Amino acid sequence: MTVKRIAAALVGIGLLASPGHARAEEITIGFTAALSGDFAAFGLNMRKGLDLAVAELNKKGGATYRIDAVDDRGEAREGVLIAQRFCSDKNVDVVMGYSFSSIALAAMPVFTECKLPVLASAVTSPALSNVSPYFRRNVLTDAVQGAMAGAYAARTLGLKSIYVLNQQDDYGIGIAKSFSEAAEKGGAKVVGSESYLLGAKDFRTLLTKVRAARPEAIFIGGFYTEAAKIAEQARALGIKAQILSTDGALNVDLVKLGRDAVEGMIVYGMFDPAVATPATEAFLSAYKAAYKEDPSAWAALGYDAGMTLGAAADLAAKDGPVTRESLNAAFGKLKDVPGVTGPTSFAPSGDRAGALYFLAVKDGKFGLAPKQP
Amino acid sequence: MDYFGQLLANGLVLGAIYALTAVAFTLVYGVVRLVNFAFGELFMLGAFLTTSLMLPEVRLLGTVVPMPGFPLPIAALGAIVVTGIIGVVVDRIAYRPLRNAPRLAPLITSIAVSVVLQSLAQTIWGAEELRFPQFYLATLEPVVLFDSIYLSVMDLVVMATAIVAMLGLSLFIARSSLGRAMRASAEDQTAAMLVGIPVNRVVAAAFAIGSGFAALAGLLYAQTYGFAHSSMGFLPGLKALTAAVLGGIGSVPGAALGGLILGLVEALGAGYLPNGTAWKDAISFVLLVGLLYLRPQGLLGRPELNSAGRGSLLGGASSAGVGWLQAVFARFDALLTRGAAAGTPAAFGLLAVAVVVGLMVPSDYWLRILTMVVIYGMLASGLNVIVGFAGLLDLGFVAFWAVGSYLTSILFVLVLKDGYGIAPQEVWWLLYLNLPLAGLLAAGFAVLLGTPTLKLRGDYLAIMTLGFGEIVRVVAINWMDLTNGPMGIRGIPAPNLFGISLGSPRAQFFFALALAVVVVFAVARLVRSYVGRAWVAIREDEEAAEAMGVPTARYKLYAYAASGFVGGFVGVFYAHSQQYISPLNFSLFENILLLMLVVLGGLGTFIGPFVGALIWIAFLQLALDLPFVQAYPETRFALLGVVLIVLMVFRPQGLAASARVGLTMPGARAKEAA
Repeated sequence: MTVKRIAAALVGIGLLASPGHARAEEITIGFTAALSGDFAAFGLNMRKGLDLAVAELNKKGGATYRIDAVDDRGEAREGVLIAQRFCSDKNVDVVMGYSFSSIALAAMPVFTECKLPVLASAVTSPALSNVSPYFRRNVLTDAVQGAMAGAYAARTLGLKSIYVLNQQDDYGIGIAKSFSEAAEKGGAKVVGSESYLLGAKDFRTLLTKVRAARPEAIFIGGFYTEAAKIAEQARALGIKAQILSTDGALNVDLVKLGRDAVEGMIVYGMFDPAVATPATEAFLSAYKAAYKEDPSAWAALGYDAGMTLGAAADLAAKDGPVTRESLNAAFGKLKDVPGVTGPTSFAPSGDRAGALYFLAVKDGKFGLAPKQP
Repeated sequence: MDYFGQLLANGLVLGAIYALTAVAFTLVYGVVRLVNFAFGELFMLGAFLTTSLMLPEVRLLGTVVPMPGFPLPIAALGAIVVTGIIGVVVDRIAYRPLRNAPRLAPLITSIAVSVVLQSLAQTIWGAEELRFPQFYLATLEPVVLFDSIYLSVMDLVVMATAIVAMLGLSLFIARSSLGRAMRASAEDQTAAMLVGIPVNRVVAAAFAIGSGFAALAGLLYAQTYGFAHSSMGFLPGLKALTAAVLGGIGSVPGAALGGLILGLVEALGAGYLPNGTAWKDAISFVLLVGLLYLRPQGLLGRPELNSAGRGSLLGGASSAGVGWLQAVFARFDALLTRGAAAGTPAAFGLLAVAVVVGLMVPSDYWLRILTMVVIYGMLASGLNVIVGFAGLLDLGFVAFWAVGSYLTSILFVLVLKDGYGIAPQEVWWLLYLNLPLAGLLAAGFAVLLGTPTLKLRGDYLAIMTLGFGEIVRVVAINWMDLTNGPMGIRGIPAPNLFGISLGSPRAQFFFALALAVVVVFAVARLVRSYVGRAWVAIREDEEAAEAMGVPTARYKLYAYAASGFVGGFVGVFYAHSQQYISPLNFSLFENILLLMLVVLGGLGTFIGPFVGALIWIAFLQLALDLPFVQAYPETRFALLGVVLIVLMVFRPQGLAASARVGLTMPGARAKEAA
């Protein structure tokens, strides 16, 4: 009997949650990313950039934009449920965000089923290329970024021996592989490679191994939480090698966690506040005014994703009401939408082209590295 | 040589921390025979409290609170004292009322306490790491031995502290009157009470000292690795428990030895095995499982500790509790008893309700959630076979689930699609073959797991199954060629029947429901057979069952096999409904969650696992719309933990207990009621 009652309640809730009538001029963005937990910084930064873009778009007039944010806590299982939640909510026209490739991969079959377009900003796995006609991202893939970083390490920095560490997941493995290949092609020698689990704390044994190989540099294919610990424990073991890492380490928290040990660490990203162009100046001043800090590359990508959506919605509105389907078609037709991370257009695979900046930690802050490719 | 030397030094530091935490486990186990899983969380609290006291200000619950900014020694002392008090309070609330309950009860509450403390810490201190503040000693240049072995000054302090603390404790136990009282209580509680020892106070003292040790270990760990975090205590807690069992739980020198061995094995193993860092967690659990198999009492332990108390969890309901609550439960019970008496018609009625719900619910989102409820309900039913009917605590059940999911995913995606280019639609029937096949494979695994555990009783059994579960998970992460590692397997086809896709949320719900009917029917037939009666006999009193001629070893294996079969069977469907699996889906926390669902719904009932799953999963989603939960999502898990502790203390048989199959003699039941 109680079961019946609960079931009845559920039916009621189901009815409540079922769609109302979407107004054509309102575009709802379903935003999902890890917004709490160890890796929340990526999602929170994307959100800040996206909020800024939405405010700007709403000021411009035309369609109004609204964000419906859900935290996936970094769990793939939540990913499917959240995807279904957005699919069932007929108000949602587009989905943005995503911190983890694995979660986006888990969610894509659901989105494909309900024909809901996705524009992600922080998932870099090559497995997402061509995953669905409804998936696009404005961040470069690991394969592309790793290759650029490998060439940079070998050719620009002239490093001869590199020890490659990576976190044991699709991100770390992918980036380490493409980095190693490019570095070897550029004339550097990968003297060893080792992986660690995401969330590992104790790297002393790993680093004892690294120390025995006497590399000129260490490449860390992983996130800032582990990169900071690796740097700190490496210095404590007397390792003086140059440390390189990825866009996963590009986060102000890296400096907060790693303090002196991360001084001189080189990372890369698709945006740097120090590189001011006319396109970025307005964004920089608006971001600083809103959040009292410099935007990170993730905020810049979130902002660009928002502006790209604006362009797509305008394009779609020309041929009638903005629907999921027309928005998706419009994304495919976009050509060189200007943005702070460079122009955005999407290849049929859902990927885009772009450039990387290399940044170094100096006096506790990220700045443009002295040598650029 | 310098490589070996540095590894040795690393291992010693780690070993010192493990040993300190192991002392906590050993001390409390020695006195009350309780494996307090929550020590990992007290370890974490010690770290957080020390860090907070050392900082000038801390962000608590989102607001900045000024802090005294003490130097490390004072902050550490404060944290140890406070954690000690928390330990005593936890004992008073969650364990003391269960002192005379079956051993399974406090074991389950300790897991619940662990969940509560961890979620609360995340709510209070936030989900991000809290940086351990810099202080004078840590800024000193490291000590370099033989020109190549680096040890920071604090590393030396950690080792010295561990040695001093453990020597001090040994002296205390040997010489002081409280120490003597502790030894007496450990020997025989009733006798100790008879000669005038205030046993409850002695136990509280053991909890205080144990919690203090855990806090000390936690703050040293936080200092060594530079941070405090809400989940930091989980793995070190398990390792420390492993160390305590290795050394022989109940013995303080054993804990020291176990910690040392574990630290060294881990450091050297990770250093010398290929890609050892990724495998190092498996190394310690393999060591644990091997040792439990060969020498269950540990290196310095006494064999008689490997025993279980009598009686099952399902015994007498506690008469404590608020009046109106009891009245509510009484009405609820009457209802369920009527339902259970109706038997088959009631089951068909419920099924009809489920079908109607499946047809009526308009939202795909809620259909997916209901599918999840049915899946978790089935999994919990599988776990219920072993925990609820046979009375054996299994913390490795997720491994069977993983076996089923991986079998079908590997066959469909990695072998057929990637290997031979066969589209999944062409071999849709394979899914239906995989269901029983995965069940059998998982059952095989279960027997493999079960065989060595036959020598073990009670708590040791729980620890060993936990070790197995973790090993399977670490293997799934690292054996990339087989499982595709942490990337997981994607593109698992949705269920399909004669070429008709059953991928829509509604079709999947009905698919799940059909499987649930099969699972519940099979479990019900089994439980009502001779086998089920034998399980219940083992659950109620293993010695008595053995004496009455029940071959307990064989029936325990049957229980493992049946439970494994359900896990594998459901795992197949789980993979096809999620279409993506990765080792993250099969963590120990999932196992704990399933256990909680079983306990919430009612151990040893058919409907209980589904009731638990429905309440919990619907609540998880509904609560997401509350602003408070949006701000602090972890509080949902804290609430589950609290509910579980309350249930264990006041209603250990779970919500739907009256729907339990009455396989015990009516006489016994009448006595309970009296």
